[in-house]
Amino acid sequence: MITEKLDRSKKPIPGAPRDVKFPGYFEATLPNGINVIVIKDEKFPIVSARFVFKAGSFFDGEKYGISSFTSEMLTKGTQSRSALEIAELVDYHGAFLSSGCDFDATFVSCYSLKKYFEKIFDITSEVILRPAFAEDEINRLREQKINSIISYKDEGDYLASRIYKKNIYHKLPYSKPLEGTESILNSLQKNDLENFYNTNYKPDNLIIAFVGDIDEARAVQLVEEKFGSFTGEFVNNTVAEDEHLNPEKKVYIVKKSGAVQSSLKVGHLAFKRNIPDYIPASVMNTLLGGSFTSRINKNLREVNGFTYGARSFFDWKKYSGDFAVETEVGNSFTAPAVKEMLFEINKMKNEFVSDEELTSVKNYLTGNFPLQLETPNAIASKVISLKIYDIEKDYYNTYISKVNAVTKQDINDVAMKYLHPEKVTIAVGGNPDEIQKDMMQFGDVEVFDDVE
Amino acid sequence: MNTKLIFEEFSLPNKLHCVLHKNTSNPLVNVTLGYKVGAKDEEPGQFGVAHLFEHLMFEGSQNIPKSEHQKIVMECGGRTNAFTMQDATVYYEDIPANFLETALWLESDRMNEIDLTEENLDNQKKVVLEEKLQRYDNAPYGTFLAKTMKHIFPGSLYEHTTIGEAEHIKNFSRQDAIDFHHKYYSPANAELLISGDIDIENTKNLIEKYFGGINKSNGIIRKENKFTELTEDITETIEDNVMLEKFYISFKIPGAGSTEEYILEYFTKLVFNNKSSRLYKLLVYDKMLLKNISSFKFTIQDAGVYIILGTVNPGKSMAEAQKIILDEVNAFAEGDIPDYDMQKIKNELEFSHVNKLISLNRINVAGVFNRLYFKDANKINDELSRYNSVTKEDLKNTVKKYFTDAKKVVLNYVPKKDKK
Repeated sequence: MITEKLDRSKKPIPGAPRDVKFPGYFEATLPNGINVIVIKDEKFPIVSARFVFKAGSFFDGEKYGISSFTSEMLTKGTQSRSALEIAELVDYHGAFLSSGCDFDATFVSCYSLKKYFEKIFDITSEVILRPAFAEDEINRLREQKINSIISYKDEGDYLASRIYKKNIYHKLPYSKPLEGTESILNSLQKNDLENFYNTNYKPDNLIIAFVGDIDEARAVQLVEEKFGSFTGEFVNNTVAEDEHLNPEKKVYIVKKSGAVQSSLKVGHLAFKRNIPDYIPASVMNTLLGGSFTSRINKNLREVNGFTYGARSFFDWKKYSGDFAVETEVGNSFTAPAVKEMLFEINKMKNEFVSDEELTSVKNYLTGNFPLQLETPNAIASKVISLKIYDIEKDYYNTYISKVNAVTKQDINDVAMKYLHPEKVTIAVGGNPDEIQKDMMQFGDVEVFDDVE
Repeated sequence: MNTKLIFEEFSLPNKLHCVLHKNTSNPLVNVTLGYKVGAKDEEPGQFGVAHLFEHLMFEGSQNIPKSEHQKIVMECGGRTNAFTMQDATVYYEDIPANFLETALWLESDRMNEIDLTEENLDNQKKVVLEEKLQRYDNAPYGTFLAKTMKHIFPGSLYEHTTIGEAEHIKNFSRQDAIDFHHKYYSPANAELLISGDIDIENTKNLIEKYFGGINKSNGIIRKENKFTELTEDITETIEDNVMLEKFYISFKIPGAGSTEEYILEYFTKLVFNNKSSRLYKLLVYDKMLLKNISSFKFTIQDAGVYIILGTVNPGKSMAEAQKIILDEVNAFAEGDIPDYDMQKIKNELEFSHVNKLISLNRINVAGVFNRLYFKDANKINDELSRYNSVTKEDLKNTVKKYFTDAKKVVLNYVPKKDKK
């Protein structure tokens, strides 16, 4: 029993930190180019397999929405099983099977108890290799996706994000809605999907990552059995056009009927994921708006009470990226909130961060590492993202030392290089009657009833 | 496989109950502190203050200024958050194991005494009012939960939601906050759970060191939570700023931990929630009346509500969809349930049980409710066998009693006429 009086003013001294290393994992490449990864973890009798084709909506061309449509069609029937048969088989085994895409990759995932895993892997292989693209399923999914697009328009943040992307990415595919538009969805035909599938779903741009209670050798064997005869070559014909920052600040408001809050997205074009400045830029953003204790959240929430939360981030993509601040604020706080965001961005450029802030953010980013690695699936996500964005393999092994090496000068350098408060696009999903006049202080204001 | 979790339990002389679970999978610790106070303890005119108070717990205590709690946890490489329910308010830290003592220091300081300024109180009132706008007032269909609770639990302590009323939140004073803390934030009214890479004896000593000296007595007189059964169906039509029609059909069911809670999991999965469920196939896949259908149960300490929801495709009939749903529910209660269907759900429950155990946070969040509601940390170890013991007859009888033979609340959301 403790007898001495406790002095609560003293912050405890932590014990010695446990040694944290990014776990090793198994990796092999098959003759047809499939990259197999195994992160073995026997703690629980569960296994997942994640299939990643390094091609997504960026390759949509004029028929945008087609990558998303094609990926979702995979589970809607194969040459030997209907959509309902697939759903029944997966559900009976208590498993998960899903497919979808983002701009830079297409994902198919399955997850189940170890005792059912090979059955689930089998059906997953079938949906990837022999999808039917049946007409009736195409029509059903078409209608579902069109209705989803209608429904998204209820959301202020969706409206803000759409007008924002359209106006900062210009001709890049990242400016388009990933899910397509009603008119494009109505025009898509079976052969469009087959063409997209045949061009982009190739073994040499496929990663298969196994996680959980499975032997490395068995995982490779499963891939050889099911995917050994999968052939072809992925040819990347799409050229990422050079894009430019918008010349000046401008405000875009998309009308959301009856809105009592504004959904704000304020930012500009930035850079692709694979740049040498990634770590200092991430450290800078964490300080600026990337965490609860960041300057932007502190200012907008903890000092001014404009919002429940505010955040900034670099949305790093494979061929480009952007920097944005996002928040939701009561109508009357819309312009004041934008003013404070711009103040914080300018301050980050004009002044060095303090030693205390820099130490604090480094402790957070390096100390947070074990929490990020708590589950084997989280580890797999990190490994997969290195592959999608062509990042060096030892990235996570050197992460902690690279974060610790960042200086105040580095932070200022990346702020100067990547932040452009004078050229931001200020996008709002909200109520123009309540905010339009106030927003004119930032530049021209354009109001839209709808956005594609 | 043995997934049984081992708990070490004890109480301090000040009646703080503690549950320790040693788990060395990762160099991490989760500290969860649950207080037996929530929206149901709020006085009339103070709806929303339990949740507001949860925010105030981050606004400073005797030795830890405003926002320092989050800052210190983050500097450890951890994360911290909290949530408020009808019956409980729960705080937690996920941290690297070597910072266990720091988390106990932080949590014990704000259990001991808060240090709240008028300025910080005003700030968090504004934050909470924005939270209310964001999550409820400005969200499509955002009023459904408040309306459902009001209709399903009239006259009970569950009649209002945790977010409460804007005016009540505005009127909460600094003295009200101090009184609220004094009344409810005491060791005897709390449950402390620690999971992770810990040494049991050392952890016991640390708990004693930081919490042992907190001595507060508080005669909490709990109000009785009285429920009345619905005597007729209630239907309300709401015009909202939405593009598509959507409905919420609700039934009153027993609370957390009841046998029915386990039984109804089969009903949910077989009829509503899977892509192979009866109503998904019928309404979303075959007839394409609905964009989606699902159901969930919200079971809290003294009662629960079961909500079936669906979004109607443009040009399709909401009434027709609802009739098919109710007919199918009746048919489910009357008809035969194949063995195959029972086994299917057992397979699914086995998988989801394992998934509850893969993070320390999930283990402790399950554990804190097992302690707060049932005083039984080991309940997580019995769950799978309780699910497996459900029979077809249980299932049919429960659906008949709480759905087919019961009154319901129907909320029909329709687009506003002047919608753009």
